[in-house]
Amino acid sequence: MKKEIKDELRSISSVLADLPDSMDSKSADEKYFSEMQDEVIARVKKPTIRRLLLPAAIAAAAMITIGFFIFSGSDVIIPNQSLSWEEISEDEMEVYLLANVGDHEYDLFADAAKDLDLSIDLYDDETLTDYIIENVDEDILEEEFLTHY
Amino acid sequence: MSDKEILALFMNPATREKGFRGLMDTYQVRLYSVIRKMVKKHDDTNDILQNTFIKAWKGLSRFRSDSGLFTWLYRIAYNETVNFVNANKKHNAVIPAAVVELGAKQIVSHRADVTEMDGEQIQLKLKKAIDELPPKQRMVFVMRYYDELTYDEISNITGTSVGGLKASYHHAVKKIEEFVLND
Repeated sequence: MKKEIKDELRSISSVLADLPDSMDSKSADEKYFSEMQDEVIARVKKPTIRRLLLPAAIAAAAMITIGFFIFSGSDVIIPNQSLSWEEISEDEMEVYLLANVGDHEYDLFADAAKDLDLSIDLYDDETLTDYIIENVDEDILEEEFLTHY
Repeated sequence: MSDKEILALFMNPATREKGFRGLMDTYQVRLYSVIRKMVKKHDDTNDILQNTFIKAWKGLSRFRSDSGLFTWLYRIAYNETVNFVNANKKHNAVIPAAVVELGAKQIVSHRADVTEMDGEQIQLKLKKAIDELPPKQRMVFVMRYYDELTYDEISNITGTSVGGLKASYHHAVKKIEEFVLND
């Protein structure tokens, strides 16, 4: 133990200060850490979209697609299939949310997420996206998207 | 792998996983040890450690280099551990393994005071003492006594003032001493 810490401890309790310095450190074997890493990587790569909000997200994506073609003056005909909710994967929806969450009412989302137990430097887009998907009311989310697009 | 190398790899989408595995390789043993000292079971430690790394993955792209990666990870682990302890204290009081060991050694060194006690009584006595320590006080004790962190480092991790930390540590030590000698 560092002298500074030992001296401080002795000033509070000579009993504890006289205990042996070394304590058995709890650890685990290499196999555990290898498996733990694989589990963490699998979890961070797992799609996080929730079925409850999928329709609203898909609707938003469809509206964006429509808006793009309208305002760009394109005369490209959009195949009906491109607007089919069933044709849009959950991964695509997550990509959409991640790409667009910063364009929406970020402060609103941040306020909604204020009860999220994270330090402010963890309020990244992925975290907010996860939080929005899990917690923001579907109607609010849909209105937010439709208002902007 | 250095913090700089980890961050450089992580910021490149093509090498993000490699960088993050480098981060885990570098800090997993130390973090595991820190968390295990605060909670009793390996399974609980595993849950907290995994959650710590998952939150690190989500936040690392915005990591500010004004503190080291380990301090930043320690802060996440600390918050996760406090949340875990608070969530479980009503149903399953958590006894920090390190403090149990500490108490056991203390009792051995004062055998004259506890000669009438068997192992089960000792464990009950320790459990009672630990239950009386607030979670954050328990964390401060572990960080200072076992991890030998400075008060400034602990302050960075917990967001508590140095004065408050010193008071918490003082109270924790006094409670442990009082329990061992007088309870």
